Amino acid sequence: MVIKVEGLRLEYRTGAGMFPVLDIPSWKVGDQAQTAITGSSGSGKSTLLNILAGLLKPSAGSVEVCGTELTRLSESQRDKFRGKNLSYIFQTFNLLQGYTALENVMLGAAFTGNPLDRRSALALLARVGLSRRSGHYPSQLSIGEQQRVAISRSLAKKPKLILADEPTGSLDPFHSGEVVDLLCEACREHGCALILVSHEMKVAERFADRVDFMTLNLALSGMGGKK
Amino acid sequence: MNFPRIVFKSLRSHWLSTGLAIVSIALGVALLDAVVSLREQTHRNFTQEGLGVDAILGPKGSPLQITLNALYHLEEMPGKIKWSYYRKVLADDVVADGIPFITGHSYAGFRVNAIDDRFFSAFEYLPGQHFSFRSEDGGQGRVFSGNREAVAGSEAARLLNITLGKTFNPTCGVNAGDPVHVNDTITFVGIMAPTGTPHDRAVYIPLKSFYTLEGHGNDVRDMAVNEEHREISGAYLKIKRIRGNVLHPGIQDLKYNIGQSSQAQLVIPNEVLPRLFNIIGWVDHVIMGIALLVTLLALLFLFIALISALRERRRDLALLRCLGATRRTVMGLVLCESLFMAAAGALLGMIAGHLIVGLGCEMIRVETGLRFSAAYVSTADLYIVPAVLALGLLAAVIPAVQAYRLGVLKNLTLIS
Repeated sequence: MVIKVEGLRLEYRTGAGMFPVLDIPSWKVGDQAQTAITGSSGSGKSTLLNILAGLLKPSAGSVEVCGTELTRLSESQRDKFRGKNLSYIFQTFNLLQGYTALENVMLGAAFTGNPLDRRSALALLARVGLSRRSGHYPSQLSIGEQQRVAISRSLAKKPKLILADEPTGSLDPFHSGEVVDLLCEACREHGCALILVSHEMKVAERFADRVDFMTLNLALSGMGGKK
Repeated sequence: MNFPRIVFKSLRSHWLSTGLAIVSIALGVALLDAVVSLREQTHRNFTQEGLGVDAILGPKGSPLQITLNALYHLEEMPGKIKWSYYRKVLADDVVADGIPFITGHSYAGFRVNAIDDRFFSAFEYLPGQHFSFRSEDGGQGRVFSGNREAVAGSEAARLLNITLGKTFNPTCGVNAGDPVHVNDTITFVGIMAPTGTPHDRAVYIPLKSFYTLEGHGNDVRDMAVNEEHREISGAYLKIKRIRGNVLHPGIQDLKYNIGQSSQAQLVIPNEVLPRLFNIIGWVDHVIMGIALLVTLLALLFLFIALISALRERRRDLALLRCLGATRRTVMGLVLCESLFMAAAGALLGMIAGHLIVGLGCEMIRVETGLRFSAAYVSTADLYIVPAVLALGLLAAVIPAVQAYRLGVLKNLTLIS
């Protein structure tokens, strides 16, 4: 299992008391699985990804990612864990502006202790069809191209898990489908699991594996079944 | 993509503030470095073994004035001393040698001193260094031998276009408007090789020729033949050494005894010149203070540059954290950027400081004859880089802590 969540709860302290954000009694994702999480805005989809990435600590429960119990790790240990095991793709502004596409890809493995050489980085860019844009800066790339660079970068560290938070949120339907297909194919080729969060059902439906629904403030009520 | 490359890319991404911070540090360091170098070289020039003179026998008056006149060809001698008294001092057990001189004449703004010809053979302008007229040393001609002959210091010769055979008429005095000895035409027969001392800026005539200048009265002309009446401005004295090349301690007794007389005083340049620096010490401190302030302002600019760069790059740093960079890594990134800017600024500043000294040395050499060097390694050169690096680290502490405490989620706005 790449993800094993038990009794996960996240609450925020507000003036009116504790406000529940997430409550997931049990949730598992198998190795190399491709899972889409959908749900309305504010339902806690991104929050769940942040917990899985070790960027946020839950109020209670156990979160095991790639065989490591994240709740027992310090922030620094979680940073290192993230650096080695998983990649994160955001909706926008994935790339560092002062770095070329190639350098952004190389940055993906910069904190793994096993940096990526230029040739391998170029091969990853070629995989997403951007070998001729390797020297371009993010401002010289379209949003779709930037997302493809982000996909290349997410693969740079050879992760066991890729977390994608609304990766198609800023794209038109044509490019949106293209990016999702590319992401799924790349993950399959590299043998890593993929958790994709999207509020668009069409995006989720492209997934081969399964689609989970996230309902507002409550647990992951997965459809469980395959498309 | 390794850590130094990330630091470099980061610096390049905010190149304007990086460049401005480096330039401002470089300016501050250059100023500080140049001031310290010029200050130390001035001290060295004014205290270098009394320019080969252990002591100056001079008239009653200000010891500083006597030193400046005898060694640096500045000021005027406060009076004269009797030749007979000089001979008496010369006979003292602790005195090894003496070279009498007369100051008070000039030519085109340069001092014309009448001096014993042993000045060119026995006098050491620096330990072991004698004046030279050899062409391989940069000199020309020979030492004067006749009464109407003169030799010029290298700088005086260069600035006055003096060539061998050229003649001049000395001015009786050192101020503008003083009378010229129109009937006393003297010919240059030698140009001394450069020494890097104020002697380069003087013209020398034989001691006896002073007494025979036509413009002087009979009383002075009488001094040429009558030693009893002869007067001189002073004399450079060489004192005997004891074991370890230490000045004979008897010099202090000699100084006391001469001081007790009504005729003269013994001035020890190495005692007098530090007093000069005490007098002008406050100017020194003010200049140093200004230079330090400029350097500190430059470091403040570095601090502001780091803070503003941090604000611009919060998202980038948060992204790096997302990619696996630890809090320590992003903190190290900010510290290394600061260190790089401080080091680049310090090194560029040191180079610029030496260039400033290089430009200044030529001006100082023309004005004073003192030799300064752009290659001189000052105390600032030794300490400025580590000091600026330490201050650069200090300036980066707050930005680095801010980077350390940067909230990843807050700066990535991930919540949906």
